[in-house]
Amino acid sequence: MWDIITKAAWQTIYMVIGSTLFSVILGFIPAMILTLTAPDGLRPNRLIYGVLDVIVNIFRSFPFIILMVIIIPFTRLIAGKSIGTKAALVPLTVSAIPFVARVIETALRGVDSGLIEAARSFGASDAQIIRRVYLKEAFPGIISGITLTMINLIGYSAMGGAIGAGGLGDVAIRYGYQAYKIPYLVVTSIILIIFVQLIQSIGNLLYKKLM
Amino acid sequence: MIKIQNLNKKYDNLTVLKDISLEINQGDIFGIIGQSGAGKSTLLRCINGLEPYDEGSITIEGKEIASLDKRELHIMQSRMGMIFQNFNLLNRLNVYDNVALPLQFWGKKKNAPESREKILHLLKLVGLEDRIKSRPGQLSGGQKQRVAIARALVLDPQILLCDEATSALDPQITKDILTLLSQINREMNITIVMVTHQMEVVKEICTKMAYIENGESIAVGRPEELFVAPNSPIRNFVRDASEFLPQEGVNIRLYFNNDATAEDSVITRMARELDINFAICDGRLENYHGTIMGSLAINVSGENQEAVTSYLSQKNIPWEYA
Repeated sequence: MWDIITKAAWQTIYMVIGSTLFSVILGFIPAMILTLTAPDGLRPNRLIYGVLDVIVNIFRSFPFIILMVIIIPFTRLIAGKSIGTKAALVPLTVSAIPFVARVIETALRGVDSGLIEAARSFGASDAQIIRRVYLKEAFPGIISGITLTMINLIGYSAMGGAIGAGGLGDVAIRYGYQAYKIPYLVVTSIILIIFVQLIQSIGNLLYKKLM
Repeated sequence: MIKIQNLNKKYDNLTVLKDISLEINQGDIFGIIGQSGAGKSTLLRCINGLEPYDEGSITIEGKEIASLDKRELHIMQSRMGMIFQNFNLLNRLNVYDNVALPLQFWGKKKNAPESREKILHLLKLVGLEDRIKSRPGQLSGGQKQRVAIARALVLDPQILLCDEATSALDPQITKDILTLLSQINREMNITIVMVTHQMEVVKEICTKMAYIENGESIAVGRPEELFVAPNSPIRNFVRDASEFLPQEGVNIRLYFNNDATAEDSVITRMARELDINFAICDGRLENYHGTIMGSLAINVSGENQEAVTSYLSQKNIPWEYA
């Protein structure tokens, strides 16, 4: 039993960390564009903001399990195959990007507009304002957002079993639920709880330290 | 130094600035006063290039703000420091780093010896040399504004723009900040433009002022001329809400300039010479950066009105019906 669970735990860690990494990098871009083009942003642009806003909403409305199936051709294109732990990174990342975009946008737009104005009044360029004001002030909020994303991804990764990605959720369903082996169900659940607690605690600690 | 001519600005259909013309000279502490929503902050933001204007012109040392390209505007902005009602400090930076921020915008290292010397000098000037490592959250409102002042001075500006800089502070702290600002004006020869709705601020330190109402500049002049003068266009703004004058008879307000005691005896002399009685209803003395100015309201009966007013006019004492 422990071999199976250890292996699954590593698969979960792999999927969560991998997809968090990619989705933060890729989600950051739309977050920044949304912030800049928002009506109160540095470069207000109703069209770009509107279109991107709708796209983000559309992607967020797909249930993960459906999204995973729909984008199988895309997954194959990126990962070379459509099943396995590595392939699961693609749908996990795709589903997390709009979420990341939203939480980072929220953090960035939470920066007091007075600070932006003050920076402008000293002749700062947009790039400097992004780097030295937006990112600096929003950093703790961004960290909270990433924490939230990781915890969400733990939940999503449990569905990875549907495309043969393994992971703790898969073990819980196949061994615990379908084969009715209660210990598997209990142990995987406990490990997932520990994961979530751990991530949240680290996130909170970082947030406090950074504030 | 700053010349504003026939400035107009609209937000959609709402006119916020209407045909404003002002001239601010080197070394002035220029107060722009008016009620909330009068357009005074917008005017300040136009001077700084934070907001565009529709018609008219703003020139600073001969350069038209609207004609500058982005780079030139940034350079112009670096020569104007600005402080705000809500201080607008970065909460995650300590005092030193907040002051260093504009230097970093202009490509200077915050810990370069030259930067360090300047920042420490300014923090000393504003009296915060022992709070260098503090975060804004650990400072009081007055201290935060002092940090903001140091930050506004770090690029060696020629002009300091203050947007309701003391409106969030209590009266004693306001006084301290104003003292600091006039010291900066005097010692560093920095022209100051202050937008405020607080009369006390203008009275305390401004050498010139403009009163803005509904986007229009109603009156421009020295504060003592506008505040303590008969039939001033800004009377409605200045009027003390607690002022109470009798309903019967005629109320006359006389104005003193400089020599209050001489004017004082006028009252008693007038009573003697005209052999009439009147009630003194209201009197006040105010300090305009050192000059004492005052006014006195008296109530006379209808039949004595003619005698009193002609007496005052004859003695060259400014007066008005109150």
